[in-house]
Amino acid sequence: VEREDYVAAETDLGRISVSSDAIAQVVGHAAAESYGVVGMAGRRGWARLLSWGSRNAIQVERRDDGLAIELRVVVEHGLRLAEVGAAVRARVLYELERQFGMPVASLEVHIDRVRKSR
Amino acid sequence: MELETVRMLSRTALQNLEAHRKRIDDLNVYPVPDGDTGTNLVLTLRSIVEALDASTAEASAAVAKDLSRAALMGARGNSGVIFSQIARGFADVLGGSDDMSTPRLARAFRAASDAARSPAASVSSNGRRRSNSATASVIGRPTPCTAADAWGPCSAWSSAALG
Repeated sequence: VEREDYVAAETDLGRISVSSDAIAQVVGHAAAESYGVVGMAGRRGWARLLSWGSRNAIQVERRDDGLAIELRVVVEHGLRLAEVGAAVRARVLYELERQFGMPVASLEVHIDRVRKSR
Repeated sequence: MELETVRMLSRTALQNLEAHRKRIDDLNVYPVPDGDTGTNLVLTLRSIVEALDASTAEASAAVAKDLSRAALMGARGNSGVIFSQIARGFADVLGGSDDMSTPRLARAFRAASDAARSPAASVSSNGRRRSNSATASVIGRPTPCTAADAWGPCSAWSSAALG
């Protein structure tokens, strides 16, 4: 069976696989819940608060040495961006490790925009 | 807001945090249990203390601006970023005058709590924010801050300010 899924476990009865969409959703949730992140890039209005389905903001690629992930976030104005970015990174890595246990080869966090929400 | 007072508050907060750094590190389980919250807060406060030592601000508004800026630039880690917002909210209210009366302090803590609330709509309440607003409520009522919250700067600032 040919597909873009990641095999999480193989047994005699079959395998357990995870789609890149599922991984992207976990990445999106982890990023959206990080302090200072007010949205994902490429979305407007209420939709940008939703992390699911924001495929243009999150890219998941499979590489021989692990997952290559790229995400674009919108951060609240007036925060120290480097620290917010580092926190997003740490959180995404932690959630991926906790939920999938997959090796991450690279994780790029782009702060796409800065927004003043208050 | 006088520079000397803010220096004193920050130094006291730093001392408190240094004393409880290990405990706060151990408390850290959310969002990533990397056990560095106490350390990050100490580094953030230390950087604020240093910036305020170098400050020459005289007017209340200038002191408040220096405090906000010091917190922003010195923020380390997630907790440091959140603390920088707490400091900003606090400074925004107290920057208006030199009056540090109890009602005004209560307002400052309320503003600090509001400023620290996550700007995202999906606000997930966490202990840090709750304890800060608990302090504001405690001071709002004229009872001494018992600092039941484990969170250093807040209790340090309030107890230092209230004597």
